[in-house]
Amino acid sequence: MAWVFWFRVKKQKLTLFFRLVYFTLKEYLIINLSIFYEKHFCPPPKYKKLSRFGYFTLFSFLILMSLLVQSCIEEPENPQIAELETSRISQVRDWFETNKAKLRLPEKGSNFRTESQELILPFFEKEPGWDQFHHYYFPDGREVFEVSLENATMYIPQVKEQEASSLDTQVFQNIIFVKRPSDARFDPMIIRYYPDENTSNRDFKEISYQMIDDKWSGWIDIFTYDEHYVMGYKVDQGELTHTREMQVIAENAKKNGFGPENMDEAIHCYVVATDWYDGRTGEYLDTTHAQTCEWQRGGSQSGTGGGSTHGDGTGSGTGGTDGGGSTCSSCYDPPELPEPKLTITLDTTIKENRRARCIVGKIALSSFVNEIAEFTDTNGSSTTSILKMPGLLYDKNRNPINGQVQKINGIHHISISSSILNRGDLLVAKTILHELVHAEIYRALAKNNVTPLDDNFAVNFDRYVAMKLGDNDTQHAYMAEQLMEKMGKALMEIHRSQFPEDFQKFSQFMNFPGGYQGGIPLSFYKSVFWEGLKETKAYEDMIKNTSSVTFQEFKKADLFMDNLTKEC
Amino acid sequence: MLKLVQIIFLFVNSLFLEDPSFTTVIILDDCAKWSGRRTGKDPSFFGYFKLKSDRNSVVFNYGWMDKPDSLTTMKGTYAEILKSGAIFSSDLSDEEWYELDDDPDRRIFILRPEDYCSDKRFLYNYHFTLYEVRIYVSASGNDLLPPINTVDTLRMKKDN
Repeated sequence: MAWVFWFRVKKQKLTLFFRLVYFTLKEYLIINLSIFYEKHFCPPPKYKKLSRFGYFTLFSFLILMSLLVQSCIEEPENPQIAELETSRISQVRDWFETNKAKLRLPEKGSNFRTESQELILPFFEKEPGWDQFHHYYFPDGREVFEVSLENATMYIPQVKEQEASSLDTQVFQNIIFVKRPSDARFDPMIIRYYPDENTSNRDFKEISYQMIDDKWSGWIDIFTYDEHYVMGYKVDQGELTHTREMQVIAENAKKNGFGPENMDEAIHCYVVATDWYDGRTGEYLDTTHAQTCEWQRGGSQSGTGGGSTHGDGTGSGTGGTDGGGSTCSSCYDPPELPEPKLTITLDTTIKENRRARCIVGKIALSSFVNEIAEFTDTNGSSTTSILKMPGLLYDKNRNPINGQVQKINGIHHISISSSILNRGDLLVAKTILHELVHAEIYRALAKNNVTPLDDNFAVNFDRYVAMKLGDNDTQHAYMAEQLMEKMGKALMEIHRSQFPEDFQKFSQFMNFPGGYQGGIPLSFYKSVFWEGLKETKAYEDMIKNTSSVTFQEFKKADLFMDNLTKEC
Repeated sequence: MLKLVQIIFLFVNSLFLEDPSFTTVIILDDCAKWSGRRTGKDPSFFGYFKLKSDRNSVVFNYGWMDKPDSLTTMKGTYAEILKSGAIFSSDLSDEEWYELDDDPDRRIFILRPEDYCSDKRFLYNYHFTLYEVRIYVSASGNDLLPPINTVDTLRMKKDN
């Protein structure tokens, strides 16, 4: 048998020898073949006769030019689509005209804003400019029409002891109608945009509540139709940086948890006295105290201060119920603004890779992923993340990594390394899940700390923030200690329901003494997540105690996961 | 005619030239660091696990669920194994482990730790079995990059 061994080893050397011969000959052949090729297939211009190709060339040229000219003529918009849009906005207008007199929150019994000191600006009748509107959908599928309120009265907030904003900034307001899924109601909200400087002036078409470009800076305030203040956001070059809530009397605000300065590391909230003016007449209206919360350290937002249930205004606590829980179906019911959710656009690198596409398609169906993310093929205004596979990925020390998340201009770029496609489907799914959780944590931090991942996210996550581990390790420590169970269960569910063939085969294959005789346990699915959590104290503790059950399970999973197959 | 011969040579040569699927023999000499176990229903399937210095793990598997016919073994004396350019697992750096894992065309054979760390090494003309294995080196977990705002970057560039 020794000769077999020697043959295998010597084969390397033989291969090298042949390669050497091959490259020498190749050089020689390239020179000779180039001459041969040029002579027979690519003669110099003197051999060409115009009469052979002239008419054909002229004919082709004319067709090409005609196509070019046609492509430059602007085609009218598809009339059917335009008609449909007009018909939909007509429905909204009809509903509004019929119901506008009833669009008032009840004086008492409303749990929309229970604080007695809420800011309510003078009501005025609003006449939307129906010819200018945006039509889009919130991530939860609700249909939205955002219509211009350009010619209506405008309210301007002015922070006390601060210079008035530049005169040439163009403040503007829109009214958004959100279609209630259950019936044909289009309850409105008012959105007011206050640009910081004239570089953020925009035409109506250039900006909407779900389409704020990365160069726009300013405040956005949300009011109910009858001018109850709901919430404000500070946008800095397309990214949310602050939230604010208004109360009329500061003392009252403090009772509710407003503090003059909360110096907590994760929360930086302060109260700002703000005067309100009528934008048309300049008349002073009221002074309010805005609890303004800024998030720090690259996107870690507060939002827990203030004792408010409103979060950032887009959260689940924003409005949405009629007074006292009544069943008044015709009453004004301020719509909830979108539930926070990642909208992940699939990059062509994923779409064009059959296997990656298949795996993403499967995990998108799992309930865990469904709660936090929605995958789309097209990049729209609601896109918060992009999933892509740019090739091999490395960390800053040039060590390979399976996936990566980076926030670029407010969009989470979730990358997965092409190298993981060598692994079983479930391991690819695991990597995508891990990166999705990062993106969801980022999203929750940048919004109002509300996430389906964790009912007590703000408190739990802040414990790890307080350890000052840095972004990477903070999130991983939180994942390892708080989310492992949930992520493990999600992966288990994905394996069973989305990769049933592999699950069946793997279960049978592992059914041996020392394997998984009672079926694949949750510990297996939890253990495979350790690969991305090596920097955590939890991992450190685990590997120190090599006799622990957790370490043994981890080791077992590491050895067994090579048997996962490529069903996709 | 000469050119035709050249082309035929090129064609024939390309048929015989293999992809550079090199073979590497690894001797798992740091025996205490490797822990092995059976990894499948077939009792001949096994795997070895080790934690590297960077806390990531290396796994070798012999035998797996799909394509069981691809299992290969070789035999050779210790002297032959050393002559073949075998490497010792204790000598490999973290980067070198990643390089091995990165090369899907490379065929890896291992000398099991219980064979190496036994008196068999000193038996004259004893033929060890080398097992062709799959390697799995776990990846780094530094997967979060600092956020970028291109507007800020452009401004900074402009200011500088």
